[in-house]
Amino acid sequence: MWTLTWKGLLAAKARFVMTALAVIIGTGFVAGALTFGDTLQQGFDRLFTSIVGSADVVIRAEEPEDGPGPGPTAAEPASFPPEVVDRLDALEEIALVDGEVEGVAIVIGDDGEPTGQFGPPTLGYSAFVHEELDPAELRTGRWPDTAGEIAIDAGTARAQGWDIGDDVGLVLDGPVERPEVVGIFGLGELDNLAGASVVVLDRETALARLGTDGELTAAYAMAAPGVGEAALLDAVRAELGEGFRVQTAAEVVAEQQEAFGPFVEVFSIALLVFAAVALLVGSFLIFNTFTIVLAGRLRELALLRAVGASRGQLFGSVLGEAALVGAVGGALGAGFGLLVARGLQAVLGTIGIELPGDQLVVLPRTVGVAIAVGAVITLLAALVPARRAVSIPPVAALSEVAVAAPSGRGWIRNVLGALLLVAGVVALTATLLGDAGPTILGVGAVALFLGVAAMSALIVRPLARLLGGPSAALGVSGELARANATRNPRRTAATASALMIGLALVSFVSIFAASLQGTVSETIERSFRADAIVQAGTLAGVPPTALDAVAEVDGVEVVAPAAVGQLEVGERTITLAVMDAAAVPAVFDLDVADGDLEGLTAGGLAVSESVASDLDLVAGAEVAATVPGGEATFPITAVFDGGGIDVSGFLDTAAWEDAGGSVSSAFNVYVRFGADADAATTFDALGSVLVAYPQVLVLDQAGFAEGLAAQLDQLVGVVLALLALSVLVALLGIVNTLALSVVERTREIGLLRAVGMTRGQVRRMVRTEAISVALIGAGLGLALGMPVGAVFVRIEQLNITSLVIPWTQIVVGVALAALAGLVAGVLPARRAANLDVLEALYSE
Amino acid sequence: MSVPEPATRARPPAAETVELTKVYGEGQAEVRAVDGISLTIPSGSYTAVMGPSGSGKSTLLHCLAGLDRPTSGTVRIGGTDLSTLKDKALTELRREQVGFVFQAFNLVPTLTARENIVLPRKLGRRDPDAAWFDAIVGALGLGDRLGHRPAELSGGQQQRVAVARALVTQPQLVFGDEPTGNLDRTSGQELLALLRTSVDELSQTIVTVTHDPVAAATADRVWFLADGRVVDELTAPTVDGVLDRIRALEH
Ligand SMILES: Nc1ncnc2c1ncn2[C@@H]1O[C@H](COP(=O)(O)OP(=O)(O)O)[C@@H](O)[C@H]1O
Ligand SMILES: [Mg+2]
Repeated sequence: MWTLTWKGLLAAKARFVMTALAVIIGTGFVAGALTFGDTLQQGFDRLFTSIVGSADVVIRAEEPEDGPGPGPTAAEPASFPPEVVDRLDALEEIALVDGEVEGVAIVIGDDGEPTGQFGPPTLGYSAFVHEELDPAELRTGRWPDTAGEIAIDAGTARAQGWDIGDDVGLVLDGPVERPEVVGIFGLGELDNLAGASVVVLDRETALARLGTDGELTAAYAMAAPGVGEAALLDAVRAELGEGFRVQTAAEVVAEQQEAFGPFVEVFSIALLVFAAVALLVGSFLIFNTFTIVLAGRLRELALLRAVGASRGQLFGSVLGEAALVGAVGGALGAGFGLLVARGLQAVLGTIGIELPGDQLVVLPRTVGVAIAVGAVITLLAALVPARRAVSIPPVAALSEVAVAAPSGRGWIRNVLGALLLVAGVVALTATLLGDAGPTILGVGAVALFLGVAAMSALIVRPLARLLGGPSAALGVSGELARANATRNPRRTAATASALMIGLALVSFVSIFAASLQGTVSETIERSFRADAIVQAGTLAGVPPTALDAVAEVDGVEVVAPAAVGQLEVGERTITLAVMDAAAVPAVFDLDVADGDLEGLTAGGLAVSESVASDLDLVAGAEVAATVPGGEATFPITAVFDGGGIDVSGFLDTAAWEDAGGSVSSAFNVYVRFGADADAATTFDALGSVLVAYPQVLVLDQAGFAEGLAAQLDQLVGVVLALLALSVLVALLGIVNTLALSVVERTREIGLLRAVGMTRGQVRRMVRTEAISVALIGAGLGLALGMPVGAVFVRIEQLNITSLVIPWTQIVVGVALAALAGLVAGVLPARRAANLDVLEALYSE
Repeated sequence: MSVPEPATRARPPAAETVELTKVYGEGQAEVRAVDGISLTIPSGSYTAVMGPSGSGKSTLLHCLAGLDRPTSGTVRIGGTDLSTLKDKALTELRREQVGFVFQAFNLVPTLTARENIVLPRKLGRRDPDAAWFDAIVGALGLGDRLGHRPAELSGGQQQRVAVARALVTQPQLVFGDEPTGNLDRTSGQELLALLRTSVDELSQTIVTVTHDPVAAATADRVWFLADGRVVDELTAPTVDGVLDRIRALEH
């Protein structure tokens, strides 16, 4: 039977190209996601190792609990006086020791914009005294000696086109200054710290101006010859006593890896979800290909049965074919994965998320997974067509009439489909009317999807008739196209279903995002009393000197800086605006549902409704939370309607400090103008004093809303780009199904040409069918995705208050689907049109 | 039943060929399927083509109908030299001036009988002439079958639909390449009788390949083909005359 498998494959190799393509794309995405994750992991690993450099131990001041997360925390760094280094230097176990100051230094590009807005960190360091200990290596120039000189990482220098001797923009603790670049360095072989910009200052300047009040943030020590790690650690700990974290280099690396591990994992999992969608879509394509290819081989199969092949043997042979195609596709998919991984890096790069990892890491595991996934998916998708095809009775080989595979019990499918549809509608209604929650809705959505997929053969006919109106305008080509689309409803349905998945997800995401944006701007309008918001454009926050400058602007009445704090209650993280409680009512118009805001001044906590409902909190209750300094209990003073505000709680600065939280620089500064001040003039004046601070943005309410919307847009853009891949697979499905249909209908096309159909009309006929299939898929997708999206945003926990259907986007989506159908039809149409009339007519 | 006036015999020929040659393959494998045939097909005539398998009957018909391009020589239909036509014009000529009935697979399975019949008119974006449509449907006895799809029709009915489709544009010429080849004897003879009727009553010009001497005897003229040439011709044939010629050719 293996010869049979092999021969079958060779005979139909053209037909399997598309199946293999679908497998390649699907598994390519899987392999790409894995490769991307591995590359990221390795990039981080190398980064962490290079950060430690040649030091044996690293000493830091004991930090408040809750170690550093990804990226530097905005909180003030733990630090210790420079004398500590002298004390360590005196130890005979230590050969060399050096201190380091780490802080924030924002590089301003020649375009006046800070590099890396909300992207990778912007770091400033002090130059080392002992170069042996410095993890960084000079590439050219020298380390800075005095104020007015800096060294800069090679990555940033390259990106900005800077060289030794250039004066470049830099923000430390005040307005922009223009020091001279005297050195360019790298970290081992890396140009850059994960895309972060790194500036090295001379030690005096670093101590004075990186926000540590003249203290160091770390010390690196190298053991004296013959001194073991344990002895070194003991000696350092004994010398320094309490209040210091003394770690070996390996421990530092491990700690960093642990901190970033979940980040990499979440990233990979998210990508794998999209890969799964692409695979699901691909399995429809594979299913269709096998159905059609086997339909063309029915007589052959019947003949084999007649000469004595058992059903099982045929089944095995067909499945063997499937597994082989799948495995080969998977292997090629692993190769395609490299492109996908590069593509992902590029996509993320364009939106400012630069991640480490220049050399792609392809593990054998990745290749193995791609091959296995390819084989298994193809095998599964081929199961039903194979079973159907081998149940052909042997006598069919001898019959004169066209041979058709015995079709499954249609009514069972339809009844099951109808039941699923009803269940889905019930789940949606329940979610809409009661508070059934996202799980029920999710189950309902899946039921709807399966229901539509099961019944699609029934649904396709009326839909095609609906589209028949406009396509009939194309004359007989249009009519034939419609007839062709409905002649094998299940095939059309499977082809369309693949596109349906993509469009359902796209419309769901679009509605969700648009509604969220709508809610955000609505809430901003309603609950902000501030006339302007000064926003930190980088993780360094708004510099204090900028605050002073804002306060001095004519017409400005209230300046309320808010820092960001995080509380953890159980699993829930509450993002707080930590600010002067007295200023809250001046700049916010919070819709208080329970309690009042008076209690804020007394150290009470105000939380949003979503937090309150998640944690069962009411005004007057107390909540125990983890704060960076340890545990603390806060009285709840108010519950406010906070949908759309990007903070879920308010706390007075003093209360935050009492609880052990350190106050970072402000991220948002809410500014209120005086009653008699002219808003436009004041806003302009504000803008002109802040010209000196390119790292901050000044926004009015509308601008603030737009900014938030833009961030969301970017995220939605990435999601849509990832979904585009599954749409691509669906399009391949259309190409494939049509190409196979054209082969199947060769004689018929020959006949049409013989009785006077021009090549152009043939082309139009096939293209119209392609567009019809695409539109049916798009229509079904919207019919599924839109209601689910609309119901989803009504789920209470989400706190989305407005339902926005992005009609333009949806119309554009449908138009794109039609266009895609047109493109998908090009090749099959050309093939059909170029058939030789006589050859086609007399083909088998 | 209103039937268009029979045309006079003085019409110009429906088609003619001059030194028509079709060669397949090259060198050793060369086959002269049609080898320098010159002939004229008068309007309003019924011609039967006979000859052993492989004698070039189909190839001749394909070249005459604009389905295939000759290697050399000329084919004129209604005065138009087919070799001057590009693919599109040739296709239009097939649609408007020529009808063809194949041995099998004549109909588009997704279309009803009526839709199949009017297909050439629809392809030309024209509505069928209602009176003519009724005339041919009546003559072919298809009135109650028009709403059926090919799969719901018998073989004889399918071929009759194909004849109606071939006639619907009132073409210069209708060709049949063994149109009765897949039919039982009775249905086959019925169909040929209908073709005869189309010539007599509907004033059509028909050329058809057949192996049936009885059927051939109903034609105005029989051409006998062998090795790509017209080796004999019979006008006003009788069954015996046809059988004689066939026997003669076999020796
Ligand atoms: N497409 C083709 N390629 C090569 N040879 C062909 C082709 N079509 C027909 N022939 C050859 O041309 C000759 C005439 O064929 P055909 O016209 O089909 O004969 P008939 O219809 O009289 O049986 C035969 O020898 C046949 O093998
Ligand atoms: Mg023949």
